[in-house]
Amino acid sequence: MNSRPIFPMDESYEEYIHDESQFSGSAQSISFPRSEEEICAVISEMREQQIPVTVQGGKTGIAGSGVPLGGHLMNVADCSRVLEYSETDGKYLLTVEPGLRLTELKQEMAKLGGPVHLFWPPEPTETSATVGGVAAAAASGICSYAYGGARQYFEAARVVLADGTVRDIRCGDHFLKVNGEQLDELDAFLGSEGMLGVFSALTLRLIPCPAEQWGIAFFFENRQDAWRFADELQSDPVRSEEAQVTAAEYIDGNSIRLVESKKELLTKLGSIPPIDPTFDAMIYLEIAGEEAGIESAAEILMERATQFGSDPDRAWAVSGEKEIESLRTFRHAVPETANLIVEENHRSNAEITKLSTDISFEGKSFTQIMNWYEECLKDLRPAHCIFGHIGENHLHCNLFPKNSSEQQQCEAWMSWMLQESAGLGGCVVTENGVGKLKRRWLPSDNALISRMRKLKEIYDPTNFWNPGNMF
Amino acid sequence: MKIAVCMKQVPAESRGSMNEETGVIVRAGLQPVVNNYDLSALEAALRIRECVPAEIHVFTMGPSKAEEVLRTAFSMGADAGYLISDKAFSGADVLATSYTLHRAIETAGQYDVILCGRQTTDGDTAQVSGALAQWRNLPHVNWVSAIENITESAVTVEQTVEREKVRLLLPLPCLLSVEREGFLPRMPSLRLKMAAGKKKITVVTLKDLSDQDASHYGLNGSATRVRKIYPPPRMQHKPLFSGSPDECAELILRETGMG
Repeated sequence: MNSRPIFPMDESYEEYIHDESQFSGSAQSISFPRSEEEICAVISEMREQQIPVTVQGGKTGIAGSGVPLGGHLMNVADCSRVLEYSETDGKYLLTVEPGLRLTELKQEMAKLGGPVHLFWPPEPTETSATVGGVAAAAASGICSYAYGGARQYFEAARVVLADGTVRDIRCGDHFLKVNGEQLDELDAFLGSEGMLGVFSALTLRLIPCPAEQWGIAFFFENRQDAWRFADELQSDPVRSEEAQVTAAEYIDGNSIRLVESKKELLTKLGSIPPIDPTFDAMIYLEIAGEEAGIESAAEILMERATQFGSDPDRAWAVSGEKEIESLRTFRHAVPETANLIVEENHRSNAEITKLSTDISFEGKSFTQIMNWYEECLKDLRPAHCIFGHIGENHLHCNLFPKNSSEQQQCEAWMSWMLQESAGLGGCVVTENGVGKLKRRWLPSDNALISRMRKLKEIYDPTNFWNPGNMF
Repeated sequence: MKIAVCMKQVPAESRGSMNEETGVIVRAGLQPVVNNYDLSALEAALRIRECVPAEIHVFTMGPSKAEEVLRTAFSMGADAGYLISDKAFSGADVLATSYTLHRAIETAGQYDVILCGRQTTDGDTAQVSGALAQWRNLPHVNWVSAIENITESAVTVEQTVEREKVRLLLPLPCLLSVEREGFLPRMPSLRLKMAAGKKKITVVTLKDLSDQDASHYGLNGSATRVRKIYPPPRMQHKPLFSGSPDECAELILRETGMG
């Protein structure tokens, strides 16, 4: 690579003007800064020329947040060093650059050594995502069921603003008042989709690994039975002092069959045996804690699943990091396959993009939400699949239009769906972001958008950063 | 029918480090997993049992932590587990390992079929199955990609040898070394995993064997020493050429001397 940090855009950089959503953009130039210093140098040059900048990381986004609409594209994936580790006030803190991928983060945490093994709870199943991307989207991952969302696992951030100022923002240090709401300044930047500044470093709060961990997959021939099992998980969580359910994931029959159909292309699934195509749903759970507590929890779950029609002789159960990784790989294969199909359809018709919901509902039963989805989908012709997190009924309904007419139909459905779900008390943007793809579908009075408009006025009034995201 | 399956615990990944003096792989600090190939051997045993009544006994050689191999085997359906563990057994090469397995299996009686995986991911020799068959004077087939039929007295297998497939009929007892591709292991079942923790494991030590001469086992009983373990050299720099399809084709032919 040329040592100059800024390159004119040409076809050799074509892969950088779209992300997993298949949304495509354009840019005049591109850079790959490897440090905060280089980031600042690029920003300085772009500010001088009054050229807006889109920040991009691992290109794993599915809402087009990192896809440029003109201007300059700054890819920070090469900015990926581990900067510092410290144990302070009982906290295990690791400071890293934004381009560090989650797979690399895992390796770095293993290298830390010491008597306590650590992990970082926000574990989106997309392990090639960058830490910066997780911060920009405030992505959650499957362990949010027990450990909560990503925001609480960021201790601090170092942010480069449009005017070149570098700010160190620490959790709890400074608060803003936005639309009558008291907001921790760090929270303002988490989930801001790169619209307020670029992260040059992030301090992560790690926590000790549980002593033991199991992964269990229950299969159901009738999806309504799976929903009722999920209802009970919500209303009567399996948890004790010794162990708790840390992940609870739903995968519908369509998703299972999609993955099976593309298994040959997904080499990481080589160790997963075929799943009976008659299964209508799968619920994947993880239990963490002490061995005895895990076994007790597993017994309770097995009894419950049996009551709801799942055969415990056909349920899968693994323990140990590597074995659990194989089941997580299957879980991740669902969105990966969905993206693969969108990509295939996009090659036949460039209008086709990723269309998926990212809606969570508090205070509703899983069955209620799934019945609502089925009602909403009943007149929609294109194929679809539904999977997601049982906690907070946070589901991703993916649509697979095959032609322009179906794409338009699905886009109209998305717009209608988001309005309907907002009316039902749903949070319509949870972990995938709004980006360029979803902004046209969001209700105009969406609280997240209103908040971002205010923050944009404060931190980036000239619209230097990631123009086109959210609004 | 009685089936013995040999399984081993190996490091999940290798850093290629070894004890310079003994040539033994350093396993400390490396996460252990069940050797992938041996899971296929167990799967083969389970499939036999789906056709004919059989008991499946798993034998694993290693330190006490190798008990996890047997718990995994129980979770998949094995009936009994033997942990072959003694300080005298450590550092064994193919010769000593196969001899130890032979003597340990001997303590549990006669078996109609012994199943092994093709190789381990740490030693990679793929020789233990053949050596074990030799010790036990058993007919032995490698590269078994399918078990077509089995009766009380014989088994018909498909062997894949490079591009050829060979159908073989072996009398029982025999030893089969199976290929991973033909026997994708099933996932452990929850019900069996719940019961696995409570199943009894038989520990086999030197004093349980008919031959208790320690010089026949472990490092002392090994005929070979590992001189060096190292990763293959990696190119630091790779030239990158871009051009039209015709230009690329010409370059490839030129560089490979085929143009």
